[in-house]
Amino acid sequence: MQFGMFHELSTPRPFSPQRQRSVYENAIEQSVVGEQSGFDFTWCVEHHFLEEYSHSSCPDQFLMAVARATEKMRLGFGIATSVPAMHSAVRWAEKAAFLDVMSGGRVEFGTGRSSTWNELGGFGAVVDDTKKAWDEYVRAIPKMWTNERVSISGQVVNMPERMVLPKPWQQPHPPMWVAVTAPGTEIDAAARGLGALILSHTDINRALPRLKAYRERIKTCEPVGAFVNNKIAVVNWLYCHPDGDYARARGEELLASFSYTAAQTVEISEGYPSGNYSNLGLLGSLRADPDAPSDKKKFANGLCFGSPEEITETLIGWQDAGVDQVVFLMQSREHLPQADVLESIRLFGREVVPRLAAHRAKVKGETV
Amino acid sequence: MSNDLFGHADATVLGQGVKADAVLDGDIAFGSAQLYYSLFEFPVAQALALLPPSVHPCIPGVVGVTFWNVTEGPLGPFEVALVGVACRTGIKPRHLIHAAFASTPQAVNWLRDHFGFPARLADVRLRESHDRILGTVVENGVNVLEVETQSLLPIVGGNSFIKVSPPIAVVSGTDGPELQQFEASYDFKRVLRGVPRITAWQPQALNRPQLVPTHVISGAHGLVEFTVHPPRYRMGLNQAIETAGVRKLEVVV
Repeated sequence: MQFGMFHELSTPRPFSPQRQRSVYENAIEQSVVGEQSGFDFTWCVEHHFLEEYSHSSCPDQFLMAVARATEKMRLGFGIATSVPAMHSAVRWAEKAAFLDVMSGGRVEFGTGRSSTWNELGGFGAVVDDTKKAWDEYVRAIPKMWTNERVSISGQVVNMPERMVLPKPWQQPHPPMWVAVTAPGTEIDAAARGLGALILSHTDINRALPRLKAYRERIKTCEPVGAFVNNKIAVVNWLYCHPDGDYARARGEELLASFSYTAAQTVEISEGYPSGNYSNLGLLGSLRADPDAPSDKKKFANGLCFGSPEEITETLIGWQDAGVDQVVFLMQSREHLPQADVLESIRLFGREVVPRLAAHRAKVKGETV
Repeated sequence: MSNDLFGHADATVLGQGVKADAVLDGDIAFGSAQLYYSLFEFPVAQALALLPPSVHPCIPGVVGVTFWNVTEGPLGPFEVALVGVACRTGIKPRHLIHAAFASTPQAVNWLRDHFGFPARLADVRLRESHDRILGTVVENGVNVLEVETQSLLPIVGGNSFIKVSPPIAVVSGTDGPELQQFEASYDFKRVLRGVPRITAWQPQALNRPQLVPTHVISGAHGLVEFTVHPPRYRMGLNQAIETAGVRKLEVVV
């Protein structure tokens, strides 16, 4: 199992350029310390207009900064929004390949289509067409990377013959993923041979059917790229502390902060009936109902708030469920002091990573 | 989290609320009805000025205009128009109702006495014609509200529903004004969606001069089986609902 960190670049009010820069610099430092502590991936979201929740409108620029500050860390677009009103497919192919070259081949290309009116409405995007557009993007972009010259005649992606430059460092091209929030998107991912970046902070048992469905469907996929990326990454939360109760208390605060910022957005399905968005996206799905007693103190069993021993047990559960990578959110609106976040990462590296390695070896009958 | 966003409207803006002490003894099934639910954006700063300190705003600022056309049920045929500002009570979407109109005196009293909607009698009409959905409110001969949606598309399959944010209203409580939640069920038989257009909007008549839509989101029309439930919750105006909680009302079934 591999580990990643998931940067939303969540920024507290009152906003200022200094505070904004501090959020960015802290996240880069977390990636640097993460690399030293056994983390393999840095994922960075793309969001627009989401006040406090995420000031990460240019993930390629953030990832470039991480690339220059680290040596091995994989650089994940989490995700590159494949909506024509925001980016053309060519621009994503160029930006990802550029970063891949500059980083010596470390790009992981996550794709998606956004689920908020804030973003899609702000750009005047055609809400009903986002899935169709995403489907064309994930088919067109690998062609732009792998063909010397390419011409594409789609409904959304349409271009005469051109050489899209640069070509990526990785051959044949960077691994491709899709963000999976709504039920069923894991099947969309598997059918196209894409990795599934599962953005629902659920418990392990609830995730199992989706993981199984993905693995089953991908066996007979028709890959949109040059290879199948049969990988499941699950987004989670991390706060590791010697005192498990202390860690859970901080974890509850992080979840409350995250939910507050997520709540203010307008999910597409709330305001815009569409065949394209039947379920709430990640932000809406995380809203607890203050009127419902069962929602109070809702704490999914797969979350990684606790002591190293407790987190190890939780991650063994994810590992046994067949997850390839767990990607951690670790901050919301700078609620935790940066020193605490860094110590959590270091403690995870010192005590959780070796325990998991020992467990894996034990299962396989190997000697560590 | 001292920098969290809350509304800052006080009683001078929101009033003391409607006395809503009538007891609803069980669900009321209105049978087949029409629902027209259109949403528009307006500035967040103006939304904050129209919401109490216990609720968070929705970003962007959203105003919802809802029409009902009810032909069956114990009140007889009636039509209703509601104008509300989207907010988050705790962290769930709600619409705080700032203006309400109903087409019959019985409906006006029912909306006021049970749910605290600031309802007034007006000529309210929701009509579906060959090319549009049209909702109008005429009060004392003045066309105070008119919203229409043309070129509607059917929403089919499992997504054929409208996610209606439950309205809340300012009601008069024993210790001052409170918020009361209106709850209903909508069993959708058909849903259409298009781009709405406002053709009449009189802010003064809608009780809030600063409430002026600027951009459209969507206009949706549903044929529904419509059931109204007894109110279950009241909430304060001044403390964040996620910390102050809700006060459960006794439900008579």
